Amino acid sequence: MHKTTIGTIMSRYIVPFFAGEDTTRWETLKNFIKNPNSKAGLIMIGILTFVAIFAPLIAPYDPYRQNLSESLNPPSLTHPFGTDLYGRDVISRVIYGAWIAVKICVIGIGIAFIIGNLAGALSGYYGGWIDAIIMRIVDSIMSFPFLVLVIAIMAIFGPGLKNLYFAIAIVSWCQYARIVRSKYLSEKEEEYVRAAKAIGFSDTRVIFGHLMPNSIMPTIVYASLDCALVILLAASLSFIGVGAQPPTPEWGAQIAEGRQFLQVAWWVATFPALGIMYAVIGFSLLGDGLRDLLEK
Amino acid sequence: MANLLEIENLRTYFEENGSIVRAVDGVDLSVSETEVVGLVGESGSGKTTVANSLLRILPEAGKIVAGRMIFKAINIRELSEKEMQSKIRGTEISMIFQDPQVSLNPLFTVGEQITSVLKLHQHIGRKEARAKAINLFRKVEVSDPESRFRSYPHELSGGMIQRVTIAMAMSCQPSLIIADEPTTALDVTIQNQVLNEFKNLISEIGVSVLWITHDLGVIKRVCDYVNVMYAGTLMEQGAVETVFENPLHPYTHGLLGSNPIQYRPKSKIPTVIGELREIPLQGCKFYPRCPIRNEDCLQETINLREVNENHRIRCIRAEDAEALLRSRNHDLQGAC
Amino acid sequence: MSLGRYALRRFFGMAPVFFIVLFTVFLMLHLIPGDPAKNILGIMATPERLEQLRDALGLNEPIYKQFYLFLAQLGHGSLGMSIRYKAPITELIFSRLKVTLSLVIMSAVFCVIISLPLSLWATKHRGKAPDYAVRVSSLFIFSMPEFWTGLVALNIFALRFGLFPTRGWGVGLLDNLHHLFLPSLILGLFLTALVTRALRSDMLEVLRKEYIQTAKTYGFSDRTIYLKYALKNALLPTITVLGLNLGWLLGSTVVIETVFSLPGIGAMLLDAVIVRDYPLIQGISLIFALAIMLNNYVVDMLYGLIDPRIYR
Repeated sequence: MHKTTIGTIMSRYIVPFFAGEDTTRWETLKNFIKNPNSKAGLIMIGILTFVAIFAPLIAPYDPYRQNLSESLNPPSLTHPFGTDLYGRDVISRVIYGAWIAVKICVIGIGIAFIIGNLAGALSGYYGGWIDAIIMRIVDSIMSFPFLVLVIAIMAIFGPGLKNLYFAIAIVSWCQYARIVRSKYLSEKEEEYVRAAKAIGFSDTRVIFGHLMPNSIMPTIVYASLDCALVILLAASLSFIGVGAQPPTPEWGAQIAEGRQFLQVAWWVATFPALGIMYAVIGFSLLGDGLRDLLEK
Repeated sequence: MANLLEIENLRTYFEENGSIVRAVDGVDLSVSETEVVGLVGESGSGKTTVANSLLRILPEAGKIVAGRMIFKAINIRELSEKEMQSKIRGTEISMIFQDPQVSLNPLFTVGEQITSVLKLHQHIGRKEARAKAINLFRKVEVSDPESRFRSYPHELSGGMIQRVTIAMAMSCQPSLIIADEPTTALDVTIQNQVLNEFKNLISEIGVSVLWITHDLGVIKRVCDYVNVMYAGTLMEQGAVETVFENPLHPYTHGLLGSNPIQYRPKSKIPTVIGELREIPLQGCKFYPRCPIRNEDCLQETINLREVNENHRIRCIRAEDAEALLRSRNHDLQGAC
Repeated sequence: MSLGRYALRRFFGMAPVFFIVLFTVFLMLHLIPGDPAKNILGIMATPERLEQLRDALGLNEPIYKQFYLFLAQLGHGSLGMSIRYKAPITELIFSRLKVTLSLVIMSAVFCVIISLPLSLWATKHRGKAPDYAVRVSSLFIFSMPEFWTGLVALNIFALRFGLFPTRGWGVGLLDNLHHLFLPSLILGLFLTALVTRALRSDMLEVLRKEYIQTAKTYGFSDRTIYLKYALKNALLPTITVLGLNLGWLLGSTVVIETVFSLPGIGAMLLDAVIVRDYPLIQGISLIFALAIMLNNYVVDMLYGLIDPRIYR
C-alpha cells in the first residue's frame, strides 16, 4: 500500500510537474528556467530562503542583544546596516526578519493551501449542498477586508506571531478553494474522470489521483503571489501593533520601531522596508514566471 | 482596358524565431472590373497573407519586401497609413472574414458597428446611417432588419452574422471586395443559401471580388478566373472553365482529384500526397509532393509560362505529365 | 432576462452570505477565550463592574437569545454602544465616515488618472522601453509597504519641506483636500500598480482578437480602435480588479489613517483593538463587510451593463 502511494504521488504530482502535455520534462523545466521572470524570482527567493534558514550562521550579532552605548549608530563597517534605538544590530535583525517572513509564508500559506485545496476539491467534486455551504462561507469570509478580519481575529485571540499564522491561514484559504473548485467544475466532465469512475475507482482516489494533479498548478501559481501579499499583510499588522510583538525582529515591527526617528536615523526603518521589497518582488516574479509556464 | 487591380511580384515575409518564412513569394495576380477572381490553395499556402498584404494589415512580424500593388492606377503599397485608412480600407476595398462570430465586436450591437463604418467613410449623421444600414440589411436578406439592428452578435446565428458582414462590406460601395472563406465556417445547411445570395448580390451590383478559398466547388460556382496557389506562389492560373476542363499543373490535378465532387467522370481519385512541408530553396516548390518530378525540376527558378490563351502554369513537365496522368487514370479506370 | 430582473436576482442571492456575515460578526464577541468582560475591563476590575458590563453586553443570556437580540438591535438600525466612547456606534461611524470615504474616493481617482494613460501608453509601445519602464516601476511600487512609503512621504514632504500638513483633518473643502493629498496619493499609487498591470495585459489580449483586425480592415484609425473598441473590452476584467481590491483598500485605510493621523473609521478600529472595545470592533467590521458586499454587487451590475452577453 505504501509503495503504491509513493508511486502514485511520484507519477501523478512530481513527474507531471516536469512534463507538460506534449513536451518532455526537460523542455518544460528549460522553459521555466529560461523565462526571465522565473529566473530572477527563483534566484531571489532562493537567496531569501538560504539567508532565512542559515540566519543564525549568517547574522553577525544576536538580534536581541542590546547595547545602549551604541544606540542609533549609522551604518559602518562593524554594523553594515547601523544600530537601532537599543543598540541592536540592524543587519542581524533584518536577516532574522527574513527567517520570520519565510516562516509566515510557509506556515500561514501552507495551512491555507491545504485547507483551500481540500475545500475546493470537495466543493467542486460533490456539488450540491456541500458546495453551497462551502461557497457561502468563502463568500462571507471574502466579504471582509483581509486586514480587518485579521485584526479582528488578533483582537479576539491576542497579538503575537503564533496567532498571526493562524489568522492568515483562516483568511487566505478562500481564494485557493475558489480556484480549485472552478478547475474541478471544468475538469469533472472530461473523459479521463468518467473513465476513472467507470473503472470503479473510489471517489477519494479520483479526487486525489486524477483531478487534484490537474488543479494543483494554478494554486501553486497563486500561492507564490500570495506569499508576496502575505508578507505585506504581516508587516502592516506588526506595524500597527497587532502582529508580531517587540522585540521580535519582524520587518514590519522594525519599521514601527524606527518610525519616530526616520529623519535622524533613517536606517532603522529603511533596511527592513528594503527587505520587504526584496521578498515581495522575488515572489511576484516567481509567480509571474510560474503563470507563464502554466499558460503556455 | 487597364485592370482594376494589378499585383506584381508580391513578396511578403514573416520573421519567426529568427528564421524567415516566405509566406508570399512572388505572386502576380490581377482583377478587372466586375470580375470574380478566385484564389485557391490549402491552408498555409499564403492566400490570406495576400489579402492582408493588399490591405496592409499584416501583423508586426510580417513585411512586404517586394512587389507592386496597383489599384486604380495607384501603387497602394506606397500610400501612407492614414491614406490607407481614409481612402482604401472599408471604402474602396473591403473584406469579409471567415468566422462570423469572432469577427464582430461582442460588446456592440451590429447596428452600431455598421453605422460606425458608414459614418466614418460617408460622413453622414446617425439617422441617415441607420436608415442606410437597415436598407442594406434588407438587401442582404436579413429578416426583420429593425430588430436585428439592435441585436448583439451573440444573439444572431452564423448565417445571419455573415449576411451582416456582407452588408458592412458593401455599405460604402467598394470597387473590390476580398472574401476570405466567407462560407467555410457556416453550417453546411446554410452555406449554399448564403453563397447564392452573395453571388446574386455580386452580379447585381457589379463589384469585383477576390474570392479566397480552399474549396474548388465554390470556385467553380462563383468565379470567372482562378489562381491556384501553393507555398506562396501561383502554380496555375486561368479562366475557370479552362482550368477545370484541362488542369495542367500536377498540383491542380491533385486538388481536383482530392475533391469529393468529381470533375472528371470515370476517374479514380488520385490524391495529393502529404502536407505542406519542406520547400526546396531552388526550383519547383511542389517538388517533394509531385508525382511526376525529375531532377530538372530543381534547376533555377521556374517561371509562369503561357500554355494556352489565358492559361498559365508554373511547371516544366506539364505536357509530359498530361500524357502520364491520362494513362494512369486509364489504368485505374480499368481496375474499377 | 432584462437587466432589472438580473439585478433583483443577484440582490436576493446575497441574502445567505449576508446572514453568515452577520453571524460571523456576532461570533466575534463570543470567541474570545476566557471571560470577555474581564478581557475588556482588565484584571483590576471589580466584580460589580464586570457584572454591569456583562449585563450591558447581554452575555448572561443563552446564546440563541443573544443572537436574536443582536439581530433585533440591527433591525432598529443600531449597532450597540461603544464601551470606550460611551456613545452609539452608528453615530461614531457616521461622524467619521466622510474622512474615510473621501480617502477611498480620492485614491481611486488618483488611480484612474494615472493608470489609464499609463497602461494605454505601455500597450501602444509594447515590448519597447516605455512598456518595460511601466512594468518595472509597477512592480517596485507594489512591493513597497504602504505604511513605510507613507512615513517617508510624510517625513519628506510634510515635515521637512512643509508642503503638506502633518496630521489630522482640516477645515473646509480645500483644506481637507490638502490634508488628503499625500495619503490618497500613496494609496492611489499602490492601486495604480495593480490596475496598470491588469489593464495592460487585458488590452494586449483584446488587441489580439479577430474583431480588432476587422475594425482595422474597415479603416478605423489606431486611436479609434484603442479608445473605442479595445478599451471597452478590456475594461471588463479591469473593473473586476478594481472591484476586488476594495477590500484591500478598506483595510489599508486602517494603516494609512494611522500614519497620517486622519480621524477616519480605520484609525478608530485600531484604537478599538487596543482598548478591546469589542462592540466597536464588531460594528466597524460589519460596516466594512457591508460596504464590500455592496461594492461587489455594483461591480456585477456594471459588468452586466458593459457586456450584454451576461444577462441577455
